[in-house]
Amino acid sequence: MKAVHLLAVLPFVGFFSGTWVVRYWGPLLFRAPTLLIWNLAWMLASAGILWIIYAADNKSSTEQP
Amino acid sequence: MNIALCILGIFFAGALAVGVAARRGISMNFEEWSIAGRGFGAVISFVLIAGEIFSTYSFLGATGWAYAKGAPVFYYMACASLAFVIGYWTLPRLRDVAQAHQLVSFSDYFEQVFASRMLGAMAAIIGLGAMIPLLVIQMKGLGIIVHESSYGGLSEAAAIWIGLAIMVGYIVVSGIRGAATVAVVKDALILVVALSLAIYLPIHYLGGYGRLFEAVEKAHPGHFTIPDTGLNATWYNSTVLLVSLGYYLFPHAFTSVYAIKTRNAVRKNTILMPLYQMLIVCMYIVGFTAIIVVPGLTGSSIDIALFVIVKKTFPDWVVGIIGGAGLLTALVPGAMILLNASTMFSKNVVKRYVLPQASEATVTTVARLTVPVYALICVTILFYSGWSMVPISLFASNLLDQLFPAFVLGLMPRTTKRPIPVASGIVAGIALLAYVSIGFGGSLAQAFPNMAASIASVNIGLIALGLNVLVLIVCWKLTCVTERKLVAER
Repeated sequence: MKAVHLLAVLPFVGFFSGTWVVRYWGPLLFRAPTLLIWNLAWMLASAGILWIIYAADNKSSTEQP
Repeated sequence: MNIALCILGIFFAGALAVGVAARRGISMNFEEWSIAGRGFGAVISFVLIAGEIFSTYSFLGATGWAYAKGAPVFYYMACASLAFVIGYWTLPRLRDVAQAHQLVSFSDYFEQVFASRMLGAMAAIIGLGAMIPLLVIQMKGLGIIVHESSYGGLSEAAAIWIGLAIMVGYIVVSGIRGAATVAVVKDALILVVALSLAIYLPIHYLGGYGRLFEAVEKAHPGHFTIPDTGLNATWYNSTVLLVSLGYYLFPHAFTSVYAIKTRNAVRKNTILMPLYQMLIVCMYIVGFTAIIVVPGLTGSSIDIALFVIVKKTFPDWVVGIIGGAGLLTALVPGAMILLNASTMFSKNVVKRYVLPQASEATVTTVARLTVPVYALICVTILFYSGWSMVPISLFASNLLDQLFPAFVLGLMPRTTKRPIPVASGIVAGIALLAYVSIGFGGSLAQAFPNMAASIASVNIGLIALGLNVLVLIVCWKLTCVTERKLVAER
């Protein structure tokens, strides 16, 4: 288990805090539904985080003989 | 004959032609037919898995839910993304295990990894039973889509019969390659349709997204907040957790992973899949626009909110194309369900218990014969049962979720595989599910009147999964103690 794998915890924290964010902020954020914006941001972040982990995994597997 | 119906006819014929042509140049043995000889690359496996995600649920259900329920519908974005974060670790391992044990069907995994015929039989029964409502829902969706988009030119029943016949045709001939080729066409088309609708409709009717959302909030205050009762925060979070854990336990999604050629192709899929959910967001936007443009839909009309707004906006031929795209969203997962049910029945039921000496050719023939029979069973249930399909399909996916602990334990390389505790957990989980779902319509509050309100909103599937894990751990400890005693006595 590499340290970079811990990044995968972030999407869980992000998505499960969604209902709390809506309660705190109100229904609309930047003239769009708060939860939609929040979840969209975390969807993109999930893909980005997985890509970072993938790049790190690939790098270490090519370094090992 | 109206022009929309002609276009739908072209889609029906095209799907059959493309599906059957997928067989060209391939000599079909059982593994080739059911999992493409484990030869799918990153792109083709992506569209196959995506095909199962973007089903008629996304096409009709996401629009209808966005129209009627508002913010709780966003749960799907969360669980589909988290499922792939988990999948980054579980799915490549599943592919390796499938390769090492030469797995073909869904229940093969549980039978071979735990070396237990009992667990294999349990998984086969759960899988075969749970896939019936899943296929019925796709067929029901197909009927609605074709009936609506043909302006009533083709009845729902006729559309369902034609759709089933086409699926049976190309699955019998081409197997998984038929489903995958149709999935490629479907994905290209759905990308164009969903994006075009989500861009054109809000701008055409309201002049932009900001105005759309403000208009919805003004017309239905609270539509974008999570309600305090019913689909509340507890429901939202527990459903996100449950669905993201059990996302791959649909047999047709599970075995798609067997067909992937390399570990890296699986990983690339999990990275891209969260982005694919953008298409579902497009359907939400269509649903929100419909609130303003075609207000007042109730009951079953909510499911056709998409077609009400589309018919109001576009000429017949565009409605026909949108209907054609919708038709393919039913055919892809439907065909995969048929393929998996027949593979599992012929390999894990017929070969295992009825004809143990059967050759591979016989098993393939039995599987091909099972395709139309399973389709007929599903269509009979669809036409002659009074079941309401939504609770039944929720029950089906909750049932499949009970296999999650077994799935994860099976992936752990250094864990001793103990089938009895795993099976006991599954039985306990299913017993609780059956008690609450069949006896009390899925309402925990009714089944256990003394339960605290905060717990009663938790998705019943998650509670059953909790009980399942608890029983598993207790039985596991008991088995360990007994084994140690036996060793000491010796």
